[in-house]
Amino acid sequence: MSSAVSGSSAVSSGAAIAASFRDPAGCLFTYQDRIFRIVTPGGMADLNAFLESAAGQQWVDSGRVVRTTILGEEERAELLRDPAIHRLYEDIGGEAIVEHERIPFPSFPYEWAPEMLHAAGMLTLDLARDLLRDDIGLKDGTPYNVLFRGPEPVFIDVLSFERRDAADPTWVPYGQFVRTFLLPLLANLRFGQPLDQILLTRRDGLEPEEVYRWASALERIRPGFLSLVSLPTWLASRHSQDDASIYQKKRLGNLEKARFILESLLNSTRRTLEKLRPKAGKTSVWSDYMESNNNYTSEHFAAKKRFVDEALAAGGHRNVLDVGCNTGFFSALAARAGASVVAIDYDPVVAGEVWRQARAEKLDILPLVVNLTRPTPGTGWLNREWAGFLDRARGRFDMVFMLAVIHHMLVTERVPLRDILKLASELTTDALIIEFIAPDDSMFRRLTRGRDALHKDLTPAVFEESCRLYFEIVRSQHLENTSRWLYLLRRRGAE
Amino acid sequence: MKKARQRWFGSIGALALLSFATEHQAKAYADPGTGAMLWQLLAAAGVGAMFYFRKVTTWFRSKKKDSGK
Repeated sequence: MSSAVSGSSAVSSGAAIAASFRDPAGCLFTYQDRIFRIVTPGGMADLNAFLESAAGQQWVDSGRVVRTTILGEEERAELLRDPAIHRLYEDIGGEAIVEHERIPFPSFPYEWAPEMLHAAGMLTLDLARDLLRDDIGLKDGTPYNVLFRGPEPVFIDVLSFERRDAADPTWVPYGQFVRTFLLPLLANLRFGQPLDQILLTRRDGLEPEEVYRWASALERIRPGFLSLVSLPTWLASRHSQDDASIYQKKRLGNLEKARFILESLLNSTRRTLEKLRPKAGKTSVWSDYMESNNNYTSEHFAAKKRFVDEALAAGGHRNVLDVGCNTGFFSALAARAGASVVAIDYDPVVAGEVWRQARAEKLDILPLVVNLTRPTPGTGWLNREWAGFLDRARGRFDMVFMLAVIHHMLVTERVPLRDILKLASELTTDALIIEFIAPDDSMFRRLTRGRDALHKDLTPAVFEESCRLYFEIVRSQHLENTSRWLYLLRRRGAE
Repeated sequence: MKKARQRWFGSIGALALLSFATEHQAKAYADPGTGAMLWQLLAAAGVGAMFYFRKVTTWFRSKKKDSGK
């Protein structure tokens, strides 16, 4: 598992370096915005075996495993001149340093739609199955081994690979795969538990015993549930906790039989995962917003699309953040214009739909379940293993969309307008397209629920005055016969 | 009843374990879990038996093919 310090800590020369620490075979760290990994001699032997294997080469060439370069003598010596890196290298007993391609925007399982966790699980199992041909195995089976490049999952933890003992018929990470992929998906599917609530506070997922307690007597004996939850719970409850014999490495005399057993396990786990595939076309409060649950006429919507299109065509922006993306209509516009888009929405159903569309149409969109008013915090040890959303997002985008969203932040979350604009100015290095919705708008009033007095002073003039604190107004457009205005803003100080 | 059930689980578990020779600790650092590992061993015992069953049926099928030539 790679603690994704990627995108987290800015490291100055000589300062202590934040590095991953769980895997004894090496550690990952970020240095001058590049991703490096120190690898021990044992780790290097396993990594070389992977890189030289036929399956390994196929997976790296197809981009499904992160591209990795072993640094030459000179480059390694250059890095080791930094005392902090040198200390880390000595402490871990490093033999080599490798550099990984940078995945544009790191994201973590508690920010994924269920569809994305499912895709990451499929990637992990397919990789495990393919590597088996070359007698290479996966040491762990956790979603933290995966990041998303646009909508596509990429396996990033190259120290997960190990040369296998062909006589061993077991897959030790099976339990971890069940806890971190299968049970969260099952809890989401059967009990409607949101993944962020399950995974934000549980690094290693759900124990079968926990899910067992949530289930009814009938549910516990249902096929699928029985093998995934009930039988492991019953077996564990009858097993002496002091008996460690079950964890000893297993070897069979018959290698063909060992391979047959392991392949059967991986295939049956894949079938179980397939049954937990999230269904398309789910509904939520916001899933029908674009079709019916809004107050735009087709003319208004066409005008809004034109405004965004023109801004995209004029700007040549490469990295777009779409806040409150809903069905991803404007994310798709930006992606088709050549931008790499991170699309956030707190509704996992719409994020899942955006992911499906992006994957089907091969659009460079990474949808994430993130609420900008309660962004994902830093998590893990010292809250520094996996960076919070804002730490990853600040300054990463040259254009931010806030379309039909600030009234939710103002009314529902009660965030002051100036604070919203200040945050927007930290997220974008250049442009902001923002939609101002006046308090007499029907959607705005739907949110206020009688508390109209709270926002009575909010006028376009007040909005523009607040914008000018952090931005210059490039152009604006009133959507005729509505209480909505569109603004293209440029961050003060942007070149 | 409880004892009988315990004996059943115990004997199945022992069967599963006996089908393997045990050696040293695995070097993977991921927590293997208890229930998941026991279930994996139990399933492995069943699949192991299936392996021989498949061998036998494959042998019979090839014999039948040969005699049909």
